[in-house]
Amino acid sequence: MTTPSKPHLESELLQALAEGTLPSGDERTARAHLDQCARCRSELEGWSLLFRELGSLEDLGPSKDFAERVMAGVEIAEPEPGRLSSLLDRLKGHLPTRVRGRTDRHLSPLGLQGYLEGLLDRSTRRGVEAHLASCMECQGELAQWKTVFGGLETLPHHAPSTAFADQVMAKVSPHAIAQAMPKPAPGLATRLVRGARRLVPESRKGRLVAGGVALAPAMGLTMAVAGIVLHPLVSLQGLATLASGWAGEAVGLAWSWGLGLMTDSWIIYQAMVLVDQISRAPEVLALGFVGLWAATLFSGWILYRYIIAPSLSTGHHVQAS
Amino acid sequence: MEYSALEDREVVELACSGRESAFRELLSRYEKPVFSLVFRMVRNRQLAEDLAQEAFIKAFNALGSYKPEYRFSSWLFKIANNLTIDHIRKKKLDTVSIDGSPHAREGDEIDRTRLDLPATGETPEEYTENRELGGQIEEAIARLRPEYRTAILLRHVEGHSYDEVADIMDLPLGTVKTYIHRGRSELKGLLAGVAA
Repeated sequence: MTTPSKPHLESELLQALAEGTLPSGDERTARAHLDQCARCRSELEGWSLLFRELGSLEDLGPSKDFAERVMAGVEIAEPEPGRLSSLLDRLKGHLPTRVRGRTDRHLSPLGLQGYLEGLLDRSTRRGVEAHLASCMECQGELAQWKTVFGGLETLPHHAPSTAFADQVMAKVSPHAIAQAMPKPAPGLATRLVRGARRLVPESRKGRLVAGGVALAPAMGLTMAVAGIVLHPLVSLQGLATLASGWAGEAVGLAWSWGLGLMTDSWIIYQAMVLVDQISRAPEVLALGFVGLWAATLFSGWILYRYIIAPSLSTGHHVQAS
Repeated sequence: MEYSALEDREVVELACSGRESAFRELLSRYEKPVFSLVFRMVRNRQLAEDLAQEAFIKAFNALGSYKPEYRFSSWLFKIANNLTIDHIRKKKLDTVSIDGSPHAREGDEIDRTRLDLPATGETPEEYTENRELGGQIEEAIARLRPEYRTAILLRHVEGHSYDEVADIMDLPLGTVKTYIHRGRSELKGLLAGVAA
């Protein structure tokens, strides 16, 4: 293992690394150093172990009258070594000399700034507040940070000269800016027309060729029709008879398709049965008409009461005002 | 037309349709913040007016490239900041710094990357006071590196989030956080020195 020439990483940096709050650029630099420095690796392991253990400590709340009972004249005794104390004792073996014996771990500047900015999560914030409640040094630090934050947040906006806006507008042309705005994408019809226009040749020769290509099938079709019509066995009357025969066949096919659809559909079949039953009972038919009229009148009244009348009355108020 | 109820995005849409009043509304909303940022960066009123004016003209003429999903103020500040930083780099106007490169860790590295004071014959304090930016906090801000200063001003004076500051400055979020934290640490030291 080679001994690195660079100084060792600071405790605060190692703590931030262990907490995962170190910026990515700094983290890469720190990791590169750690790859070469056993002492810093050992310190990092120590901090990671401490944070893990601290994170696993349970929140234990005393009873409500705990403080009163304590303050009732009982002398405050030295606290018994708890889990944290024993843990710190164990950690002393892991930590390097520079950190050994350091019991006054204060809040980091990053933590205090994050606390003032309201960026800490609830549990971290509670931890910071708990520490601040008992640490005068950190309270002093916090007061200094408050001065910085307070000073920054009360900085005023400076105004440019009164002619500033006019000077800017003198060099800006709203109309030209509006003209230069990117236009919205054209619709499908516009794109089709534009595409078709692109197919139209621009030169005279091109147009003649395109015209010829377009006319060729039309001429062939015309010649075929003329050949049929001018045939001695073909007459106009005969062609009309043929056409009407084809039309009759098409209507017949459509009718049979429709009937098939109606008989296959359960709903249409039931509707036809209902119509048939109604037509056989005139009194039911009459009742149906009366019901339909009543429903129409009721619908008309609802329409007038809630839609037409309010709009008329609103118009009236607008005019009056 | 009543613009006060409209959001920036809507005012920008009206400006894109060629309404001069919409351009003036955008000016009235942002002339002070943009001018203040530039003024605190270059510490010269006339120069700040020129740069702020250039920023607005550039932004207005490029409204077609503005994407409404971003905050208009962020976009405008980005243009103003780029113009200002370009100017500072070209003219080497701002060379007052108490520190070297933000990435420098060792003494000699900091010395090598430290920028020198301009030979104006003024102390930073005099320079600041002469340029209407009095007060301890303004003095302290004037002593920060330009990038620290921009980040701090955007965060604390303009109230942008860290993400927005990173977007405006075209820097990674981690770098911006570092700039802001170091800038504030320097300010704390400077203000503590003044108080003492």
